[in-house]
Amino acid sequence: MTQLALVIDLNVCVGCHACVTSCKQWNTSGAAGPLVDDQPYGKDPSGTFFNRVQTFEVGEFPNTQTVHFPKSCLHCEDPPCVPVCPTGASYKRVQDGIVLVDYDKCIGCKYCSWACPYGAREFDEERKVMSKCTLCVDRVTSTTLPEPERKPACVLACPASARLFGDVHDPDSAVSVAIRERGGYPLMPEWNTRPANHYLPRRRTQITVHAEDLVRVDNPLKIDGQQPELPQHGAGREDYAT
Amino acid sequence: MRNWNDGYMRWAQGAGLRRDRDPIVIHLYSEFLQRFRLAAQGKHKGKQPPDRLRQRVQTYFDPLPFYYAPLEEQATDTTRYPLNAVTQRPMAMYHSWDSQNAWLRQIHTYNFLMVNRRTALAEGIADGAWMWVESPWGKVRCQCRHSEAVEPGTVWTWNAIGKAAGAWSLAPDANESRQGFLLNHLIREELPLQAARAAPPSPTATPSPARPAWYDVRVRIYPAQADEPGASWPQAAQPMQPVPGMAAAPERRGWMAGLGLGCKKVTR
Repeated sequence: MTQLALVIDLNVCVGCHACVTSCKQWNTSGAAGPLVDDQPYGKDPSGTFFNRVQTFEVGEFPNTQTVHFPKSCLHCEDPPCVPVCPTGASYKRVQDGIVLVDYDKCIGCKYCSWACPYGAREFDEERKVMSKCTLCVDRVTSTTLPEPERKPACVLACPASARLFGDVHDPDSAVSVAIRERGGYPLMPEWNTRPANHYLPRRRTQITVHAEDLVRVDNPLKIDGQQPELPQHGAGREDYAT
Repeated sequence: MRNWNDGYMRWAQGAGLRRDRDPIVIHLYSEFLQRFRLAAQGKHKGKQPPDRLRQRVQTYFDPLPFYYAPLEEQATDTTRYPLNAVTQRPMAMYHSWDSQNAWLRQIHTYNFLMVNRRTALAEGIADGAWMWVESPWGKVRCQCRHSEAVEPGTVWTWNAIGKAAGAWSLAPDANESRQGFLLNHLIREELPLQAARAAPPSPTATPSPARPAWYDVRVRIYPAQADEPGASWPQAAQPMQPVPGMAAAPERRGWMAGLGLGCKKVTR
């Protein structure tokens, strides 16, 4: 059975929010939109975002890390938001495991946002219905978009390629390999929600400088004895001083 | 030839990016700077620096990199102003000045001065408290955010968040103007040259290249008094007025491509 999911590399994310804005741009005009903004130009603006980045510090100076933590619906395999829904509006798709809300059935009772331990739900103040990350279901199942673009908008936007997308039930998929080989972990496993989305941990970066890196034993001028070719039209602009 | 990227050199010349197909050598020793210095030393014919700047050019146009305390710092009492103040642009707004954008301003609605926790507590400034940051040129009231990710001798904030009341067509009580702030008030555009007081002021730029020396300002911090208003300072005397003919801002909005505004406009 397919279970589509995101795998987010916390070692790479720099908190640029490109995933946040690209998510809103696609989804406000997509099947789940519009994503409403309250007081967009006034005091205390607040709006619907399916994806947010929380930034926090860990440790004490100078042993500090600043962690940028993208948060969206984790598309749990056992989603607590589904059984609490009195109308059946909150559901998990059988064919690909995406958790969605049927706006036509939703009565805005917010039981699901109380049930979700991850705070992933976003109440739409205009339509009075619950909304959430759709994993860009209207992109990933599209038959008209070019094949490489059938990915969530956030994945396509990430300049650091910190976001992977795929089927976590396929052991050979890129996301499954990343989880297996790079220590991917789910959030709050003690809730037994079995989140489909996983995070890849921060890694300690170490640089080892070898002596041969400092003194080039293979200096090409000593090996082939050839000098670089001279400029063809006199001195170059970058180099005329020498 | 193995020391340079011959393929790139051929392509770059063919594509017109470079005139010549010669190796690109990074100049650690800069002959360009040395020519300025030779001129200042009177050893180079042609254009000469003004006499009052000869010594400065001779010193700082060194053809080799060297460290010196920033010129503004040399002219500042660093005992009274012990901290460096720097800014950086919010990544979410990079390559964009449109921080009044309805989505971007939700990501950074206002800014804090990020101060190392120990530095802030030494001055009696609590996390989230109102405080003053003062340079020899001006002062700003802002909110403090304790941080472990900033060096104790440096304070920083996001730039371009703070706005005058009513600016950018935001509401007069928008967070950007009531809680946001700019460090611009702490920064002088001109360098106080002690040795050349009679001379025209010099731009606050490092000798080469002409990088605006925003990172050279020195500041001190102290808590705001309990009876001070909980708002950033300075504040505009009057909120900026809307441009005539400009539509009122909506109180709620939802974009849907092809349909424009998904919600009706509500006049404030």
